[in-house]
Amino acid sequence: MRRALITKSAAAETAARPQPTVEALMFSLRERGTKALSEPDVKRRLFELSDQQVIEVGDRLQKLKSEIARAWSTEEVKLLLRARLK
Amino acid sequence: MSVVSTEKLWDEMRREKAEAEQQFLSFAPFTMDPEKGLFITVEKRRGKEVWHEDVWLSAPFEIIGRVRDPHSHGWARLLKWKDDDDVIHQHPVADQDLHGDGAALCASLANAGLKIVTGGIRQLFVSYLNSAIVKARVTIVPRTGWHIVNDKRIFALPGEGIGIDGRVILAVEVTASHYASSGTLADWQGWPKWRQHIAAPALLLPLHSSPRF
Repeated sequence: MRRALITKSAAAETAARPQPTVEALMFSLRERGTKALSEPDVKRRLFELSDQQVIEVGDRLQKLKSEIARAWSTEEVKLLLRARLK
Repeated sequence: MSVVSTEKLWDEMRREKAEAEQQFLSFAPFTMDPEKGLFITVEKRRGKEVWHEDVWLSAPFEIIGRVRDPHSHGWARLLKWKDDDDVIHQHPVADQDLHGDGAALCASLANAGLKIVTGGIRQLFVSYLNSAIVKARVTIVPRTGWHIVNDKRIFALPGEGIGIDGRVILAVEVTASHYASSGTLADWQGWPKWRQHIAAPALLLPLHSSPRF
């Protein structure tokens, strides 16, 4: 019963998160850096995320592996958060 | 490279933003104390003796910005305050309401938990509102999504609009009328307006959301 509840809760959590939006945003930011923050599509996606998802994006950008893309600095993550807070 | 917790950064920046956004306006002869409220400094005289006294006018409130409708009418100032239960209220005060005796305006604000001085002195509270110069602009929209504001397409999100300057607030966040007037009674009694504004858009809806009267 407890397991069923946990599974249901996890499923609800997943359903609430527009994961493709997170991934599309990650792609834009990873590829074009902070310049992407001025793009309307990126802004829109950023505002569609929950606070927790924005934090997740910031953490992931800071931990990018060098073979994939350059990791973001704290200042760059601040720019991301500032764009979301506007 | 050291990794700083984004959560910590987020909390810090949100707090800074909230502090920066506080709009407790003071200008002579008014002082808005964020803790004690609005005061006016008045000059008192007795014989040759002259002194200044602060007279309380209301509980503290912020003026968030100037509000107007998409057609640049209905100008107002958006006020924000906390009631005695710490519940936040946002209420637009229309410029046109500042031209009465202030009783009805103060009553409606008091009804939403803003304490205001009673008696004739409350006219000074109205004077404060009328004199407050606020640069920030606020656009109130009924919902998130696309809107036409000043002939420009904007995408409204809570707190921001893409394609528009200033802050965007959803109508559900403010204590405002849910209705607005458009045209005259005669216009609406005539068939063409009804057909143009209600029937025609309704026909464009898909079958499963067809209009019902």
